[in-house]
Amino acid sequence: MTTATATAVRRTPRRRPRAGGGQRRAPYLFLAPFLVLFAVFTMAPIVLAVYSSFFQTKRSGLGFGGEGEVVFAGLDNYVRALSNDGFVAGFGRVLGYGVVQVPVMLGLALVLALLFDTALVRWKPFFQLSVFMPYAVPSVVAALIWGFLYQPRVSPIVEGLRSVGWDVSFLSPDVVLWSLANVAVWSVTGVNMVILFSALQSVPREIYEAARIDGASELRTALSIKIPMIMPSLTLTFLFSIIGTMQLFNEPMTMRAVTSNISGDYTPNMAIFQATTLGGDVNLGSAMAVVLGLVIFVLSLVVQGVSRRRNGADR
Amino acid sequence: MARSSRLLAATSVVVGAALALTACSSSSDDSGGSGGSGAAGPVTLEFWGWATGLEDAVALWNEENPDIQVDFFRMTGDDGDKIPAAIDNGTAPDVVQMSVHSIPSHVIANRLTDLTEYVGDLEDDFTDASWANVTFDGSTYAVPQDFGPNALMYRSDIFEQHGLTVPTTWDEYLETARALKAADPNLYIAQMSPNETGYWIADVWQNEGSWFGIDGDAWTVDVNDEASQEVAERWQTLLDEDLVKVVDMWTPEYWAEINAGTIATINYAAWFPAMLEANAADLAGSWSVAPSPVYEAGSTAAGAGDSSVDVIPTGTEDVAQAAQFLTWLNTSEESLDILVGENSMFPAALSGLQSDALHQPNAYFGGQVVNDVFAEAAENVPASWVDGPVYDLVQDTIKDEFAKVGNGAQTFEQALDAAAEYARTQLEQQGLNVK
Amino acid sequence: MSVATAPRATTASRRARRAPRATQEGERPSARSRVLAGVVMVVVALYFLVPIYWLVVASTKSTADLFGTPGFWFADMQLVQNLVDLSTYDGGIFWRWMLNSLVYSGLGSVLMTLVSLALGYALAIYRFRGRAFVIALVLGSMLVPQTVLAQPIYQLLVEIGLNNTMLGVLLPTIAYPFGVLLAFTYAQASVPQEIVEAARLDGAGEVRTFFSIGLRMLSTGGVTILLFAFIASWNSFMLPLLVLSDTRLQPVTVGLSGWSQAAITVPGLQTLVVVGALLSVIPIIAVFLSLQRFWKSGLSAGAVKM
Repeated sequence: MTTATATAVRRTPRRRPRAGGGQRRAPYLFLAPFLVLFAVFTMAPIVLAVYSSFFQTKRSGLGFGGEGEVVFAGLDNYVRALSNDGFVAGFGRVLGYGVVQVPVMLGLALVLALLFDTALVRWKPFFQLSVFMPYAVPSVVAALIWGFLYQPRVSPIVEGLRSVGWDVSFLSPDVVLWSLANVAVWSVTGVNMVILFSALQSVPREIYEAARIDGASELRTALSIKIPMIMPSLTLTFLFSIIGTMQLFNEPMTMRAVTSNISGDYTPNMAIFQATTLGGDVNLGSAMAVVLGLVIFVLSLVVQGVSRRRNGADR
Repeated sequence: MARSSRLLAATSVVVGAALALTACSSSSDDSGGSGGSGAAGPVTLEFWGWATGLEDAVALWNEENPDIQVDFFRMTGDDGDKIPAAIDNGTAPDVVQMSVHSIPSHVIANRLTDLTEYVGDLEDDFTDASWANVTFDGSTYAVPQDFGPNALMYRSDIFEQHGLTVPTTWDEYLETARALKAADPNLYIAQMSPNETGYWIADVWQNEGSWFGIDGDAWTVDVNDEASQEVAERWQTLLDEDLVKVVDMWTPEYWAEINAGTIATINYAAWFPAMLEANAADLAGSWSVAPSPVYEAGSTAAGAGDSSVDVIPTGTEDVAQAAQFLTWLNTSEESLDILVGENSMFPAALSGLQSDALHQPNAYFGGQVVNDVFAEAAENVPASWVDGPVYDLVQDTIKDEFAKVGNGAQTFEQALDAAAEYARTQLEQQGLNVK
Repeated sequence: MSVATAPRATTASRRARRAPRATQEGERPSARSRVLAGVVMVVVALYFLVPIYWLVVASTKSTADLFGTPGFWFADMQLVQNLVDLSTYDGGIFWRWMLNSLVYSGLGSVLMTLVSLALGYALAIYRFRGRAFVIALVLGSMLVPQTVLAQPIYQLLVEIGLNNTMLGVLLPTIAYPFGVLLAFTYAQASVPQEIVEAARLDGAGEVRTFFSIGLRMLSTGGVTILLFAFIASWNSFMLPLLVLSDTRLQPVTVGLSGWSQAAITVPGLQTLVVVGALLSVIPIIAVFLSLQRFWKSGLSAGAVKM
């Protein structure tokens, strides 16, 4: 976050005596549209969700006697969430997935961004479009495509690998997580490449002068100048990727249509969805969501802390 | 980061807003476009459904009943996801088609109108099994619409080629499976699809089993009772001897297997022949239908899978009119002519099962009147199956546990035990009585 | 396999040759590293394009061929028939969905971008009480799992009476934290404090300064945000599904997902899902291509600094 404190220079304007007041009020005017919508459609739902995580609906007998009564449950929903094996196992799954998927995806995005930032690549617009295009494919459609490409008997890829003697089953229980990771890499590399490339483009070219005079190679320049220069954006994309990984939902949810090796509570977010929709237990779902939010929050703090220390050391 | 006191202040403002919003809720109970006030006079009913042909039936009804107009909305896919939220927030339509299995979970959340006084006398118009499915503890909550009794679709050409006869009991079925395997190692008697619980349910149902039951004022969990264990034993044998192909149903891979001719029989619901025809057109003429194999020689019991019903959500004002429409839609001759005759729905109503429109030769099955077999099965489905309030969760768990069975990580018996344990826990957590 | 991508590559390269070549002062890189980079690019492009190529091929097939013929090669050309089927199914509702999506994403992305730019600009230019808190709020909201918010949002919309309306789908998406973060970083980089000062000295009001100067300087960054916003709303799924009971108001993603579930019991729907999927990607690619010119210069508008 910025720590810049450029206080506006106070001058006494000649023509507009009310400018000072305008400057004080103006930011709130710019804030208003976002904050009003944000309060109603983001904050209020969050508050409602947190609120409902402390209540439960209690029924009796067969449960056919009306709605049941809503009672204050204290932390009971949280206890239930944390003692739910499937929910907890989901965290382990997305963490393992993230440890592999995030570095691979970001590494690929970084390499591509660095390549696009050199004169080495011809036909840049075409290649940039190719890399970005999968991001435009809705996850429902992406799952449909990869579903076809992963299934034996209908997948040309599986056929091709089989013909060279490699028998791989993308949807078996041990492999399916990495098959999902591949779908995610395919989908979001482009967007991360764009963010990193934009950061590279904005680095003033003069900075490379010295390196060129020293006769440093492209590779040396990239490693010792470019990457440190775009560290803030790398941190940002890293953070987004972690958040995305922890909230993994769309890909596994849609991929369930082609394999039963993805359970209904495969990721924490899916467990929330299962509890809320199939189980009709909004209270438990909310408690799970609060837990997930907190875990992501802690992870983000760790990422920020590490990157801040790194940046401090670098400069 | 901001100081916590400020955060607290900001949050409490939002909380205030949120609570104010919820406080002034639910006083207005507008049931989606229902212009009526429960009184006589013209009313408009909103109806969501997905069965083909409903538009035409509704159009006919509207022509004949100017005072009770029905607005039909087609649901795409299984739009059931948004029904609960809609009913809870008073924005649901007046009539909804839904899966029969969801009834209890909606009843305990007070989402369905008790229709006993309006449609209670329709009992004799439907098969025993489909009526039992909509009646709980003496109250009727829905009107049955379609039904999915099982019969055995089999590749007559393959059977002929290897000189096999169609099995009539499950013991014979096992022998046939072994014979097929011996004749051609690439041949399987059936698929095992962890993701399609309809297969499993029908087999348990045929054996007069169920997942749940009602005993006085308590639910019973029967997921791993004797009837299910018997089914599990057979499937375990089929799996252990590699006589069934493990493949998820409805996937491209599944249809590729069917088209490749590796699967010799499909013991499944009455609405499946149309699927076969669409997805395996090249196999026209090579399929026939016979009654499902049975547990005891001489028995005629059949199983059934998923079927759908029509319900009236709570909050609907014109219940009497809506019930009148539903009665007409699902039992009258003119409506069934449209749904069954023109749109090939497999009906739950007895008059529909006996109608000429249903019993037509099927070209894909070489001219066989396959619905003779299915209609016979429909009337022989035992009235034993009871859905429970946590059906959806249990179904999801069964899928996940069966996936492990398919991978060889556990047995059917272990899967059923795990699912039963889970079902019990879920019922108890809702505060319901479980025996 | 790659034979089929060849024609595409040539048209693209023709277009590329017309585009100005990125030049960089300095010695020309060695031929060897150019070849290496070229090879890397081709491999990468194949990885990203092959699945999309599969979609193109699949959309020309009948249901039976979809399951029964090699995925990377054409079978009987059924594309026209599939398009006709798609356009007539359920009274041509697919095109209605496409139109809805265009309305939601078009309107939505413009509003998202404007609101994001206004806030990003304010955070970058002004120092005011609560500024750090607002930044924390925007960042913090990205941590919240969206799955759990759909239901409460729906509840609120019902209270306000906006359920089953197009407005009900639009409003909740307009506050777009990701866009705000981007706008904030772009504004920091590309709107110099001095220019704002100069405008003030000329007697322009704060709001006019933003519209006349701020927006112009942010236009390229704004285009990037617009693109992301467009795609985000085009692909949003959960909220429209809950909010809209009327299928005639649905965006195309919800419609297609419904179809692909229904394909289980409705024969022949699978091919419509494939063709529909292909068509649903086209508008996004069109937007991308039309923005690419801006986008390329827009990318140099500001590094992401935090």
